[in-house]
Amino acid sequence: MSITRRNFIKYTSAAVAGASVFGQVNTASAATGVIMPKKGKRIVVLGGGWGGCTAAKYAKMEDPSVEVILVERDPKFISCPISNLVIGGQKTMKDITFTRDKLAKNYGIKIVYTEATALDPVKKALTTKAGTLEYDKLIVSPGISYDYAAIEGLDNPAAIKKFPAAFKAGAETVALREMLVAMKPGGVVVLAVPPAPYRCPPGPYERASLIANYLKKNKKGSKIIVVDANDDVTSKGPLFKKAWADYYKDILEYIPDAAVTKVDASTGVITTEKGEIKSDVANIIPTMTAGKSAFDLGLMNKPEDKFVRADAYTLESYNFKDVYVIGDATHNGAVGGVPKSGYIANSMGKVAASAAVRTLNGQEPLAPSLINTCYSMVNDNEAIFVAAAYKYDAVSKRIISAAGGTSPERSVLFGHHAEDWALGIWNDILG
Amino acid sequence: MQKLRLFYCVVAAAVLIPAAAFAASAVSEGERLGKPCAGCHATNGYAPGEYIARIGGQNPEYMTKVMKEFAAGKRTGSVEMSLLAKGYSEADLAAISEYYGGKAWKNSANKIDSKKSAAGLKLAKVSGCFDCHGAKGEGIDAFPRIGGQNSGYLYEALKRYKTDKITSEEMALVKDMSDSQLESLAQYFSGIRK
Repeated sequence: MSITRRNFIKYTSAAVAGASVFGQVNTASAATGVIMPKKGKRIVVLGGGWGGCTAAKYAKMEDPSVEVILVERDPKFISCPISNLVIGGQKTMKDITFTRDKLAKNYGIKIVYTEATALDPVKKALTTKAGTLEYDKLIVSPGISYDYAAIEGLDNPAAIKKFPAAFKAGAETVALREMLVAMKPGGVVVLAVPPAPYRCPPGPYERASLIANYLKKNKKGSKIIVVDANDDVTSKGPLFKKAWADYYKDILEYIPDAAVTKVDASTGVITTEKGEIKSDVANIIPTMTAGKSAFDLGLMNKPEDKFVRADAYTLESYNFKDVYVIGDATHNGAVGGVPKSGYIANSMGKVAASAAVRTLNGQEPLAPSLINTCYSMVNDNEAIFVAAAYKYDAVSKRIISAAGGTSPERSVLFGHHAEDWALGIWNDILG
Repeated sequence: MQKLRLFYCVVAAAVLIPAAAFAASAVSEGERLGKPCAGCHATNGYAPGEYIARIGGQNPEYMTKVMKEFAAGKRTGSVEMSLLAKGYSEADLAAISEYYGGKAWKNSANKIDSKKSAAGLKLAKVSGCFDCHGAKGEGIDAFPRIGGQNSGYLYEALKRYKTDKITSEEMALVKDMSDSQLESLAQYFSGIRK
């Protein structure tokens, strides 16, 4: 169904009223006309994940007079952080699945559930399957895409189904969990870590720990083999290795410098640079790039780029004025050495929202200030973490670390902090 | 020429400023630096969990002191904050404290064990907690608000006072208490809802 006249009028009048909540827009066919014509100052946010929801909320908090429209494909918000605990069996999908209702109700953000198809940065118009949205400022939070084609045998539906990546929380998370539960005792699980940079640096190692924890308790004689494309554990290395030595000595095997080159969906054989492994369950996490929308909308700056270059001070994209890019999709060479974490996406959402609101109001943007804290569970109740503060460096024109470090050890208290961290940041994104 | 340029500037300012001023967003230095803290402490510092402190509406004088102590490595029991605070100047830390301290306080919604809370109230009365922290634990002068603070955080902080991980003459009174007594105190003060 395309946008009917009746719906069109509804959207238009609601836009005039300025505080309505939008339900799902039917997106079966592309509409090209302008929907919700722009009346005043408007920020459109594309991507309703950690970065995008934060940006939408903080833009409204900074200036409630600005109209904020959030464009997102999936009516459900499923948290990637904490999804490893679903795979490990400590949490369920219900624990990590939320709506964005409070963004509409508490802040007056208009949410359109549809897909973006094209960007006209000159006319400042974002075309979606529901119609075209005009904007003054556009904040894009594209997330990541998997480069399945980088591994031989993976880029087909059967292999993708057989080897779920589960680095976008949702159906892939459930699939991987179900495979682990269904596996017979004595089975071999392979977890392939992609080459950096990728979303959530400690994520694969936390997952490996929690799968090992699950196997230890539920699948006698089973093993997990972590094959890492990198030359060492990329985050919290000594802490993970200590936990593995203390708890999972005979269960978890770690092999660095072992990028997966080939997979076989019919046999489960995983070929790495260091040899072949016959797997019963394999979590193949492919090389990552910026989310597909970043490519589709022309945000990539150089032909070989995998991530989006944006100005480190404002997060405005190199390619288009008034278009900001945040989150895992940003290019570290351009923005600086921040990890691709949910917390950084949350901080970046605030930086871009403020820069967009202020420049929209004729003010200078303020220097970015960011934080990253990231906890990893190593079993049912102990966690380790990394924490760092980031600031803008006027010399290198990049975001740099101002201070930080990892937890000195694992502890149950950090496990409590991990749980509360999630509650706090979900509140900050969605509440 | 100089004068002419100045004239244009004034004209431009006269044209531009009213519109800009009308819509200007006033972001303090404390807000700029403090916004990322909400990733753990939640929007406006109203941390919904048990073990991360509520900081929205906390006494700014107390918070400034604590933040400086984090940065100086004097409160190593708060491992995360000891790492993070070092990334900011003393003026930054004071500004962040003022930003969150300027919010209205909202009480914790943590579940409270009524038995422990009742024991905590008795203990608080004989220990003189209210003399410094106020009848509702709202904080007096430089003493922090503890009424309606999150329970796990209060318990962990009390344990740190007990074990000298935080040194404080006033709080030395908890040294003779058992962990169970400390938990009772935490339950009582966290459960204050007025």
